[in-house]
Amino acid sequence: MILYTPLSELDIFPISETDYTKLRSISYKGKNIYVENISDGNYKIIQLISTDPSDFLNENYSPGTLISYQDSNDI
Amino acid sequence: MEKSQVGKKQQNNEQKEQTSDLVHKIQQLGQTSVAEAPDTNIHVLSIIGQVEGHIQLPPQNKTTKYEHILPQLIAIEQNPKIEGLIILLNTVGGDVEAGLALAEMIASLSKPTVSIVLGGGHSIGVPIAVAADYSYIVPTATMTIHPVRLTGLVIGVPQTFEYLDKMQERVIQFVVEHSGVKEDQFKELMFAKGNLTRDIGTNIVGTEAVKHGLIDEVGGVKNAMEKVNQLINMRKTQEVIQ
Repeated sequence: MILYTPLSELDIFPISETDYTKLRSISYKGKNIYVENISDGNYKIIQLISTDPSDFLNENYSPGTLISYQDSNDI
Repeated sequence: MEKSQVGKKQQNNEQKEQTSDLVHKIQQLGQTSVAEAPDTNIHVLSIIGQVEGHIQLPPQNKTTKYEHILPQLIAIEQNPKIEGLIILLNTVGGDVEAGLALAEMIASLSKPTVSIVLGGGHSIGVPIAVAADYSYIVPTATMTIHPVRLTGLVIGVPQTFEYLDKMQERVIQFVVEHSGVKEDQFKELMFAKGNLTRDIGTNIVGTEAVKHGLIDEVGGVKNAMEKVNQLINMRKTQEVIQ
């Protein structure tokens, strides 16, 4: 489907509220991470927010890792 | 008897967890083990996607939120184990005030900072790139310099225009103070006609950015690491003399 319109994409396909709330930033084992709530009692890590390059080699924070609600402290 | 059964169950559960961990790692990374590194004295700050400021962007945008970066910069300044900072830039620009805030924070760090422009350092990415003590650009990266605007539409209200004009002046001043580019030259690039289709401004590629004095040198990770180590050593010897 191709739409020829001067309107912005967001005016035609607005973002649903749930999309905003699905992603959240939490603190996990002392690091800030971005997670997606996959609504089965787990979060999936999307992005690690850190400046320490060695954190990115830590497999606990690798993207896609599942963590349960209990393990994480919301901020 | 019961105890041993419970023990066995626990063992089984642990084994299951281990295997699911392993499967997971293979699914996500395509390998079972990830390299481990010792503590590093150089930290990396990546500014990717859009610079997000006062307005929250829809979740499908890749953004760098300044409220995440500012505390990290303070933490870097405070931590004595961190001796240098490398800033990786691949940004399309974004919120002018947020970008300027980041640039000012980076410029006022006491620790050596080196920036690398990868892919793109457009718009408000320019002041962030020049804010570092030394800046690199990879040969294929580009930087778009254009006037400050809201949406690209014509501004109808004179007050809005004046406000944006002042904001633009702040950006120009910052870039001129922190890089080798002359004010006239930078303005010329900003208001050039015919470079961007139906818009004013200039898109400059790697070596051109160096030629204009905007960026210090063409180079990549190796150069940046060498430079930051060199700056760290210089800082150390200065401290010894003092």
